[in-house]
Amino acid sequence: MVVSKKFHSEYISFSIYKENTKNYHKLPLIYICSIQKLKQIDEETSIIAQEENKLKLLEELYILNNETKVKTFLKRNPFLIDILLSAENEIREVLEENISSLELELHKDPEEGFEKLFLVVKTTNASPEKLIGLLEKIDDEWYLNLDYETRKNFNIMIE
Amino acid sequence: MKKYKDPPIVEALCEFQFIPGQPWDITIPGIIYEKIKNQFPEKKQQMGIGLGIKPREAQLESRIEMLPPRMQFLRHDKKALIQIGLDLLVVNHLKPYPHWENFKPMILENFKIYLWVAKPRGIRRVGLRYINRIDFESAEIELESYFKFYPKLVSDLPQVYETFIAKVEIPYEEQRDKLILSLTTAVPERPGMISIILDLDYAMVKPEAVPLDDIETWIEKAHTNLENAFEACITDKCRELFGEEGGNNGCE
Repeated sequence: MVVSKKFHSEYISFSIYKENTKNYHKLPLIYICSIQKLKQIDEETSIIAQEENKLKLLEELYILNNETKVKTFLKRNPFLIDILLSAENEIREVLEENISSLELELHKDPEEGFEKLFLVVKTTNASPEKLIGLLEKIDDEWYLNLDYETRKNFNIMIE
Repeated sequence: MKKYKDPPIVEALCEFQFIPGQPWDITIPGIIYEKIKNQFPEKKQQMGIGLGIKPREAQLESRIEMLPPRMQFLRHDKKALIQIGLDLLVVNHLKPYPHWENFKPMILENFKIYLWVAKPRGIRRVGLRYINRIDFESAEIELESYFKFYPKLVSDLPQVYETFIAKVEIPYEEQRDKLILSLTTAVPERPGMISIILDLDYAMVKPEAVPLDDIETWIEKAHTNLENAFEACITDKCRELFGEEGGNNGCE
């Protein structure tokens, strides 16, 4: 079932939340986002305003470590915003209940001398072998399909 | 009207929502593209974002789903684009904004093409919108020094705040039109800066109140009202940031 702007309602969102309050930690973070925000992005026809709205949505999907630096980096590299919006879903598909949080942080590449955005997946106590296998799966099924320019500026790390 | 050397406009757009005269045909964006591809050769699909829900074990699981796309046809420099969606036409121009004398014909030309191809019955809503971004190389500013329209807190509350949004909707032309005015903080391009967005959207909100053949008069009037509103929202200190003379103001 796809809830589009044509027939979704706050009621649906609320019902799902109620259904899952006992398993809240297992829910994708998208539950926390209101449907209203998605609707706003979908209906926005201004390029500038849509980018601002997407940045706000990212704040709800991820923990932003050093928020100002991450946001200004995304402002300079707006092509990463849509990638990050879909990344949340791709990662949850593979890592499922092994995720404890999804975080964004900037690291300076000492060899290249430029900043790179890392999506840090904080995990529960799964074995390192299992996590490496899952990271390889994310790489094969999604990350390696991203274009070179994106991968140059963005990476995924599992902790 | 005041002119500025470094106008704060980061985007100007004109959005038309139509009342269809015939069922939507998925070939419409393609036919329009054929007519505008010399000016707007690059194609892009703006994927709609929706919330998908699917059953999984004993619970429901949600995921972001992509909805049917809105077509974007961009100029080579990507500074101007035409968006075509279901009963929708949007003409956008990003910074650097051309003069109104150039933006207006761009709107009207593409409006005429849309009418010719999609044959709508009328206009449900039309909005002319200017998004101004004002950057301050400072970690703290006094809003009242730069703006005449801003959120005001009662004196019992702390007077320093971080993010804010102030929005009002003002009826015009006996409620046929509406000016949606908002002042908000935005993500700055560099840490240590403050960026503020002054967004002015003048729209006809009464369906079919403006006939299809009278749109030029309406957008001209909308533009005049936006210019006046922009100047009414800022102080002389703010004008100094843009440098008067030689350019265009926040709507011109």
